[in-house]
Amino acid sequence: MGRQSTPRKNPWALDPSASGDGRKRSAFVDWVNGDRILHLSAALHEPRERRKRPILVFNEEKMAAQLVQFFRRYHMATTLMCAVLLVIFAWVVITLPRFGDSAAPANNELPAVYLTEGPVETGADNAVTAMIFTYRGFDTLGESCVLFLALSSVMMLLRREDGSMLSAQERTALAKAAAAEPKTRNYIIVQMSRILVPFIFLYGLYVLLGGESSPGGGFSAGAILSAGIILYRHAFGSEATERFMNERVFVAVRTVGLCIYAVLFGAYILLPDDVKSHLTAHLIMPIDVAVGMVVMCTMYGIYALFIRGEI
Amino acid sequence: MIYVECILLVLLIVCAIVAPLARRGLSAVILYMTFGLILSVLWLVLESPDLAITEAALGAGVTGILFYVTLRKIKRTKDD
Amino acid sequence: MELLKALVEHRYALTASILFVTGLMNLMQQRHLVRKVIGLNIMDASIFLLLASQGYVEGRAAPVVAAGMAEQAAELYINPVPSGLVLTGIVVSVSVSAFSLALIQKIYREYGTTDIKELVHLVKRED
Repeated sequence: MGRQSTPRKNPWALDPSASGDGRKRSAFVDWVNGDRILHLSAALHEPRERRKRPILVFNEEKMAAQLVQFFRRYHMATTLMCAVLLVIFAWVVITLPRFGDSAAPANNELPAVYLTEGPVETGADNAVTAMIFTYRGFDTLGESCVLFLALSSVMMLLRREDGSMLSAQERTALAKAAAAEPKTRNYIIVQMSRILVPFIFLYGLYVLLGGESSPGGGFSAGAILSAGIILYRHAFGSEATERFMNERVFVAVRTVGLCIYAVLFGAYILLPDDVKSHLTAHLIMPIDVAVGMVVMCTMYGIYALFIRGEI
Repeated sequence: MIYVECILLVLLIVCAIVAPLARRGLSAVILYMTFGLILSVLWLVLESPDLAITEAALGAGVTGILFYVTLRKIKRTKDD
Repeated sequence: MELLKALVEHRYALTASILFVTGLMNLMQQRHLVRKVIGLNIMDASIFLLLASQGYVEGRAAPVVAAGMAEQAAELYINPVPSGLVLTGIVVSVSVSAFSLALIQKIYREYGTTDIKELVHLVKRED
């Protein structure tokens, strides 16, 4: 690797094989794609490569010794840095406003507005729910996007391919895992979840639908419902769960939930005032339900991908 | 009331210090769930019931389960 | 003594800083990758504790406005803003941890170990 000398190419020439698919692309597109270095940085890179080549012999004991010494110094340096950080934090934190002070700068007129205008304008008695879905709705939209992206990334990483693309090693591992799954479920868990799961779902629905006038709201409800589905799946296996939560339902709920949120929140921001006043009082409930469903599907999906490699 | 808060905070710090140092992975996960539970009670003391419900279900519940499943996958598929 | 009184008065922020530094040390110094993610979660929790403790006002109740009290509501309830921020933060923390754990599973499948020292060895050998 890196031992053969590459003839110095003209970086601006059209190289048909730079991106690997035979089409001639311009140098600019190649640079954007990362397949080519520009002229200036090529000049910076090449002499260094020529100089470093004799030293690139892989010496395992020397590298091991270097790594051991690096880790020792690294431990001391990080401990020292954390001690200094702790002293700085403690020193600064003592100068914060007094805990629970009603005259603190954090309690200026903004929370007063949220507390007095929020329930009247949005129809939600819970000031936190009223705030995070309407006044600070962008934060929650960003968070729903983060959930969506996290699940998509976990799907990309952990998703099991269809049978034809597996290697022989993975196929034997899968066969072993399928054979090792217990034929009879754990008795305690099955009996307890027969009692508990209906109540968990009922409580989750109560927290979801009562999120406006009592503590709770979309995220708490999504968390509780996901815990219920995870328990159900663990007790009764994936065939029983796939009767009502399979992949199509999953993908549909996630995408539709996020779209509902985006559309409704866009309506909240962009509509003119007279249309909005009819709408605003009824806006929080659909957004709440959508976000709760998205959270539930995300947490369950992550669990299912961890356990089995597919939903 | 201040004494209850101080005791809970000291317990929180103790859990946080011991949880990554536990010898077995299972002990670390259980200590992390305890950390989440004490944190949930602290949210209640700070008068935020939304946070308490969410933290109890997500932090102590779902994250603990995910840690445990990952540890099982790492130790179990070692003999491939 | 007044140092002890100052410490007890700012107990939440001090606990938050101790937890943050603990989490940071675990994140940087632990050898097993899953314990690093536990350290990351502890750091997240410390920041949430600091944020939510800034919203508390003594003697006031949880921010669920009772019916008909909307006029004097500003005097009766705590600050709801940090509560909303922390709610977002808890969910994001779970997402980040889940993604890190998925990455750790893939690393294990690829390299066969989750010890950071051996991983550094193996990755350097590939270069």
